[in-house]
Amino acid sequence: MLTFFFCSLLLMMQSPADAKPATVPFEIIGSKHMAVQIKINGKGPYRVIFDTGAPISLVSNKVATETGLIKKQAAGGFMGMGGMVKAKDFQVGDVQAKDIQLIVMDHPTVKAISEVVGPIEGIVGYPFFAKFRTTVNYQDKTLTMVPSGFEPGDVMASLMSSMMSNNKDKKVYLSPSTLWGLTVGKSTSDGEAGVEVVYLFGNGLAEQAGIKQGDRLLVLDGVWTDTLDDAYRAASQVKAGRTVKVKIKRDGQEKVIEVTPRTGL
Amino acid sequence: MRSSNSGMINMKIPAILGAFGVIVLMLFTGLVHADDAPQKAAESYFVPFRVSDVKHVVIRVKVNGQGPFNFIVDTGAPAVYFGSEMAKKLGLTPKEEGFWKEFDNVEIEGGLKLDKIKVRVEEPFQLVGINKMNAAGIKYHGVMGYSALAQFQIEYDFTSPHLKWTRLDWKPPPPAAMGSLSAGASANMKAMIGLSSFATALMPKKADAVLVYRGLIGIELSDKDGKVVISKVLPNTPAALAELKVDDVIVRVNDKRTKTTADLQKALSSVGADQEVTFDISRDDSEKTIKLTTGRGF
Repeated sequence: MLTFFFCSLLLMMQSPADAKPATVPFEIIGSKHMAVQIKINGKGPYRVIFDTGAPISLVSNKVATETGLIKKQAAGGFMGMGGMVKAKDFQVGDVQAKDIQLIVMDHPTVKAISEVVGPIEGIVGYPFFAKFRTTVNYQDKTLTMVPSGFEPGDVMASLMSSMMSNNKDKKVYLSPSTLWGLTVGKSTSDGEAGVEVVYLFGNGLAEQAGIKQGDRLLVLDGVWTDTLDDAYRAASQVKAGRTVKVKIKRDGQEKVIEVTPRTGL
Repeated sequence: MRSSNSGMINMKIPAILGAFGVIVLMLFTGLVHADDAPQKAAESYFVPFRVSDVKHVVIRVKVNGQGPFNFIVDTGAPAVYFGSEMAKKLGLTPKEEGFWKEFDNVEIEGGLKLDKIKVRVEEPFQLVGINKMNAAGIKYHGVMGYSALAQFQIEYDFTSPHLKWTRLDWKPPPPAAMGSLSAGASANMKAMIGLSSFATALMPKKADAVLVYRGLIGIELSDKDGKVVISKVLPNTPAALAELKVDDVIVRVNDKRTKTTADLQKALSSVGADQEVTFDISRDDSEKTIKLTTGRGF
């Protein structure tokens, strides 16, 4: 039975498309945090906070020692910080993942909450939940998780390089993969919502959809297009063949138009 | 040098723990939740999101038509927080100790509106250091926590550009004040603020990345039998002026072989406007080289 369970989990990891979602119950503690039960290397369960706002996950020195992540509690150090470890086998409810990065740390807020609601031993954040399509339902108090195929990678390393780098000469390219046939513009003194359609190329997608020169482009596929950056960012996320809604404003009237962009550049 | 850097980083870890520590604010103040928000039938919204350079899930919000403002989606925070900069933009005078205010016109990108939401107008201190260094690559304006998030079922999928928010048919119980907890935690938190702003002072402010818009060529494309074929050329575009034609097969672009439209997109993804591009095409069984200069638009 256990082997079967393990195999099916492995299968889940390997083929996100066919993976079945697993449901993890959570508790809403007095501070309104979500608390879940975790196991590390088969040991536990321990109660931790599930936090979408935490870029890293952390566990207390106590748990790190009991689960063999560290040999002995680090003496002194800033808030008992024992550095970064990797949990070979990390489980949140029935959801399992391998090689999860953790910081060993007795976080003062976690400690403070524990004093009121009972033991809390850490925080589960981005490096774990980003691997899954995670649905949070506070009413049912459930997390539903299914591997999405997304790999958050070495989060600590990328956090550090992001904090150390000065971004000098860093370029981000916004490259729409569909051709709309329009040019948008906005002057620096223009504080109104949206960007202006300054030119339409004949017979293109935008013209065929009834967009006119001088229209204000307000929303493209749900994204506010108040700057050129936003307009290009929105356009670059649209895939050919998917019908998307565009909200424009003409003569004070707002209008929603559906378009199905085609591959081009 | 190396060890002193990592020392700084270690001190900064508490600062990047996201707005988790925002809970401390709750220790001082009880939160009264808007209890007369209308119940609506389940509706789903696709909320565009980004993951910042320090791995926060960030959505955008407009208040009274002002904005957009960048918010961290944070189940580790008990309420919705508006930072000082956005408070000023909304015509409010931020006070150091913060205050509660109900807002009626809070729009989340993707078409969603929060009705009568009670907001904490206060700068979550975790945001200060990150913003100061520009560590996230995006400026943070506020935090979207439990009191808003719990009204919805939210699907996070990092392979998609959207979060899916579905309104739940319930009224989440408001967070309660936590009284006696405050003293000890706040002392620790104060220590953390001191350390993180010290570390911040030593860090260079990160520059904003330069955004480059891909240049316009003016062709629609299709994949045919392992070949990239032009299916349409829009008039007055660089493609039309350089006489690229429908049914031309694009064999190479800037000396890179293009077997699929994806190859071509990739090869040109970092080519901005006013750049020269060379196409090797096959037309009527003969090869031809066409050079053009990219335009503006998409």
